[in-house]
Amino acid sequence: MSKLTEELRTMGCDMDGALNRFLQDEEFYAECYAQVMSDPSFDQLKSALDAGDVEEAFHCAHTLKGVIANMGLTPLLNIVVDLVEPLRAGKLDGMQEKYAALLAERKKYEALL
Amino acid sequence: MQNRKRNTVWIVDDCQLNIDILTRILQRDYRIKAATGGLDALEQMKKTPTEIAAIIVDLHMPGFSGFDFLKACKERASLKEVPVLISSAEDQLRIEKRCLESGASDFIPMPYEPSVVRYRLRNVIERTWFRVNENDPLTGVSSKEKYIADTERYQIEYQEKKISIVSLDIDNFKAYNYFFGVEEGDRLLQYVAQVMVEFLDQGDKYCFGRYGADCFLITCEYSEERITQMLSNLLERFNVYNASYRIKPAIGVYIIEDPDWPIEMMINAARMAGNQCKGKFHQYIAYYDSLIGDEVIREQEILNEVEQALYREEFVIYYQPKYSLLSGQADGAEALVRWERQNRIIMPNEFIPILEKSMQIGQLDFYVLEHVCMDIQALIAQGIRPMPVSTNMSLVNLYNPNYAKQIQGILLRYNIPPELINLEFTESAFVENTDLIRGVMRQLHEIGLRIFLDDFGKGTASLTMLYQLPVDLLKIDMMLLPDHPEQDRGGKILSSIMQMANMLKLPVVCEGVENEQQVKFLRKMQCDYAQGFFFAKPMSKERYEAGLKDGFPVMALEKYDDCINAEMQWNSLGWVESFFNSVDTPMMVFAMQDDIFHVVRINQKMQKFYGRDFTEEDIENFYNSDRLSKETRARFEAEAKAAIHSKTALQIDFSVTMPKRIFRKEDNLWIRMNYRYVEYRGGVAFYSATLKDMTAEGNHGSIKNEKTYSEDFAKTALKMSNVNAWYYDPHTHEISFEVELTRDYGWGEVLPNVPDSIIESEIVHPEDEEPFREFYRRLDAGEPFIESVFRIKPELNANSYELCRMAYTNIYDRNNHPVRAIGVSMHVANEEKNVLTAYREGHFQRMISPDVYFMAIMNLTTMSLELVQTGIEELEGDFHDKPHMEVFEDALDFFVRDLHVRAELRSLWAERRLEKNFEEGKTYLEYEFRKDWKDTGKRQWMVWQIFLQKRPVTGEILAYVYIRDNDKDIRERQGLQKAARIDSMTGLLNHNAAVEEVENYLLQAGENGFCALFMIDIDYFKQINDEHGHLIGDEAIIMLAKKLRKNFRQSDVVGRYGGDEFIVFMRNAESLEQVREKMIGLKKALNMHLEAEQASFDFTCSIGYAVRAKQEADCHEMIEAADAALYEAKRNRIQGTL
Repeated sequence: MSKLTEELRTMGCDMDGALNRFLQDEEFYAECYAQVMSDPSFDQLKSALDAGDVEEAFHCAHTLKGVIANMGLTPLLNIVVDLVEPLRAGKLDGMQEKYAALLAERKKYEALL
Repeated sequence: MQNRKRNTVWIVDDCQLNIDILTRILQRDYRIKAATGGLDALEQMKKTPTEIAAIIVDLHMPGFSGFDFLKACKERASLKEVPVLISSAEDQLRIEKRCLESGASDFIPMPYEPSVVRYRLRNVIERTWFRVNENDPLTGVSSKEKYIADTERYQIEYQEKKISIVSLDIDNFKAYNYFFGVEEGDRLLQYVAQVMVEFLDQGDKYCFGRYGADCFLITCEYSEERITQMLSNLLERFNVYNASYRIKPAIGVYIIEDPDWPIEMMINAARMAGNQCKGKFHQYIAYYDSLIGDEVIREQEILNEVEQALYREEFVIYYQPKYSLLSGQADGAEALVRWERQNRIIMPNEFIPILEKSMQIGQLDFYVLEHVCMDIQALIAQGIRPMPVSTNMSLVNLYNPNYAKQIQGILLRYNIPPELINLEFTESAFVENTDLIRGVMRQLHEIGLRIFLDDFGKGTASLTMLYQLPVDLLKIDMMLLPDHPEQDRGGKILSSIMQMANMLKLPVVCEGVENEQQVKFLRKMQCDYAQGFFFAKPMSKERYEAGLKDGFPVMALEKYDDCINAEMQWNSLGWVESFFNSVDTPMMVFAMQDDIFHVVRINQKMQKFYGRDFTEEDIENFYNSDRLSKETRARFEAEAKAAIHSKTALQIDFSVTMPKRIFRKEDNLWIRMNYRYVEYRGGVAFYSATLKDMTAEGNHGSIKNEKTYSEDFAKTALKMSNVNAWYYDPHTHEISFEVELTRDYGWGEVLPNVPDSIIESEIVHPEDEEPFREFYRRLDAGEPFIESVFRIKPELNANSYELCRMAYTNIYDRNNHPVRAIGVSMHVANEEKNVLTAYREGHFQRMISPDVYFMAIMNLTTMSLELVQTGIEELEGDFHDKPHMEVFEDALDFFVRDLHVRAELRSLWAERRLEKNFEEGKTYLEYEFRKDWKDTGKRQWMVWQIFLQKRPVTGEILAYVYIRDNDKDIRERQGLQKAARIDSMTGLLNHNAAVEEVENYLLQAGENGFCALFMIDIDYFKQINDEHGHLIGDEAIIMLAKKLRKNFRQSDVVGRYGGDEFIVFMRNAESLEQVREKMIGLKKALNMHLEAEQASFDFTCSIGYAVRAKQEADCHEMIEAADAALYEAKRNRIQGTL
């Protein structure tokens, strides 16, 4: 186990599932991890929310959901799901706050890089 | 079992990370390809669709979602079968249903669970690719997909063996379909499948399927022997199936060398090999070798470079002028393209076929068109008069919906008048989807472009096509023609194409003309244009420009003309012959060539007029030098030649000895021949002539010019076939119309104030108005024949103009002032030409022969009616719906009562005896009958005529049926018959007639009549002849004849029995005494004195007689008895005895 995956596991991530997915290739996981942290969907989601574009916001959130799920980052995933479902229903209320929470949470993960 | 060839899995996801993860999961089992966008993926998949085992696509992608992608796949034939799995972070339950409904094969949930992903994917792939087991619905053998799947399995199972992929096609299957119909074509395919299965079942394991169309594929262990057996089996069975048509298989063999080749490539290799034997008479089998493969690679290279070459303008335009074979002058040019690539010139035959296959040809076509337009624009700017240029266009363009618009766009951009551009399409382009092509052609015509048909005669569907498509000109390749065209099959094909084109009034360009023989041949065939090295080679733009500026050399082509068969020329006028036969005047057509005159045809009327057995030879003798006086002949020749230029009607009177077989006298006849020059074609001048016996009129030599309108019409009819026709009066400027035009333009029967009224009605193209007026000025000035082409609306309210050829022939009075003109017009480009021709033909028939009550053209081959024309109300109506037998029966019922004629005619039709007659060379039949007109109570002789003719090219047999007035003819013939009974020297009945009269009387009188028969001759007649000559002897005979006639009652029969012997028959003699008295009186009366210039003498006659009273004596017995008495009288010296 690498330092990264150990840390993530302690933060409540599903590292067994994730590493299974990555065929136990920790190095590859680490590469992807870095990619996810800088995934443009985070910024795109912000812009969409600012512009009030529910559809685009939903799409971005949904992409993040898939990626984060694949990485097994469960705490982060929970916040994303909280974003996805209201957006699917077309609701923008309180989304900015949730996005802020998402970014705050991401900071913790970025720190691991 | 894993699918060996289909082993690529595509991943389409806008998120690279997902792609990466999936790739990791799947790359051990599959080749992975990926794209981050759906459209991009589709584009790339095109290249190798047959390798794709499955596609995994992300549901949520911006712009083009997974569903969109799925739909696009299902719409593409090459991807339709490929399973698509949708991956999404969505809750499976939420969207699975929708995915499956959209045609997705399965669902891959996120986050990915590798084992789940692998399982689902494998499951889907196996389900899809090993499920294929459908059979080809037509033949019942494996479909293409199943064949491929089978072959893949076969390959694995028999890895260690030498496996061959064999393709089997029917060479020129399209032609088979064309000849026998698609249904029969399908039956043949079923038969092939059955034969092959039977054959293959006898050997080892195999795969067999139908790849599509007429292509079958076989996978089996390679053995040369087995393939040879397969071929001989096929040939044998084909021969059993249809011995009348040579069904030729084309077999291609690929022996698998590299098992890693995709199976499609192997199939292609086999098919490429098979294509090598197509069109080769004796090659049935070909093997794939790497040369063929190299070919494919080279083609690919060329294709790769074309785009660049178009951009760099490496394609250069060359121009090849085409020449008019009539004038010998350049008249238009074809634009040809050369590829100048790195100082090397690539000829079109190296790259055009390749471009055609790849569809890139369309780009090149437009490139050439645009450059031609640029060149023409430059010419016009320099003040050089351009010629029309034709550019080649490939079939792919026809499938471009904006094709016509794009062409119009280019014309407008360079400001090029459409008549300067002709489009050449290759015939093979027109094989399928005629409606679509017709539509595009119509658009092109509307723009004003002319359409040429290139390479005519090389493809298969050409004949029907010509009728269906509005083509303006045919181009034929001379390639078929060796040095002696006339003796060769190629020459025959060419000439029949040209005759057909002639019939359809389509001009023909012959390409590839290289030598004198060919020019000779083409002139003879009346080909309109020629193109080839003999005239001009393809030249650069600069040289072409110089040629236009200075004028291209004019070729003197007359010198290539040699003796031309006038008969052939005439035949090329096709059905005009039946016209000619319906003219109500004895008529003939003769031709002059190299100062020699031949008779080409005489018409039926002529034959009738001069007797049953009158032949063309007899007519030819009319001006055979032996019969005509030298002076007459010289005059005739000089005048006939002059007529070619003056185009006036001429006449000549001459004396001629009629052949004996004609009924009348054997004396000299005075014949009046009125003749006109008709047309000059291929070195032959044609004349039409009417003949009239002027002997009776006496006053030979200075008879007034007399000419019938029907002759003029016939002349016009000869000149043009599918026409409108009318009269124009140069004094009143009025046109009197025929029905046709009245309907088209809504004009009354008489149109005044021509041409202004026509122009005011706005049917003439504005630019043509002035030429149109000029045309009428020339007519009014009395030009004998004028002709021009105008753009004229086909109907009053039509939106477009059609090219319309208009011609006038002036008719002059005896002072040579124009009195009337016959106008004719026809549409130059008219897709309904065929129908119109038939219609107008009938129209003309009625016009030129007012004695025709009913006419019909029946197609005996198709058993259909092509035309019915009649003035009889009861018979009018829409014949199109009626079977031809019904119309025939109607006509029969209306006209013919005579049971014998009815039975004869019926059996002709019902027992198909007409065709039999035609095969035996009998082309004319007639039946005379009498018709009682109910309304007038008049009895009239009529004749039912049938002219049989083969339609050129299609070979269909046509029957032209005319029912016409024959009263005059019959009466004339009766007159002739009467004349035939008279002895020309004495004016008494001749031998036969006299005997016939006597016999008739005796027959009627039965046993009751008392009658007497005298035989009289001149005593010592031989001495008179010897002493005074035959002329004096004849005088004595004439004197005796007159005396006899005077001495008997009108009702008595008086005839010349032969030489100086006469026969007299007294009907109803009263008694023997009376007869004896008569004889004594007669004896006295016949003591005669003859006074002539050199002779003066007395002569007497002897008389013998016989009487019949209530006896059964016939004529010959009475003659014998009287003759014996006459002989007795002579023996008892000079004195007549009883």
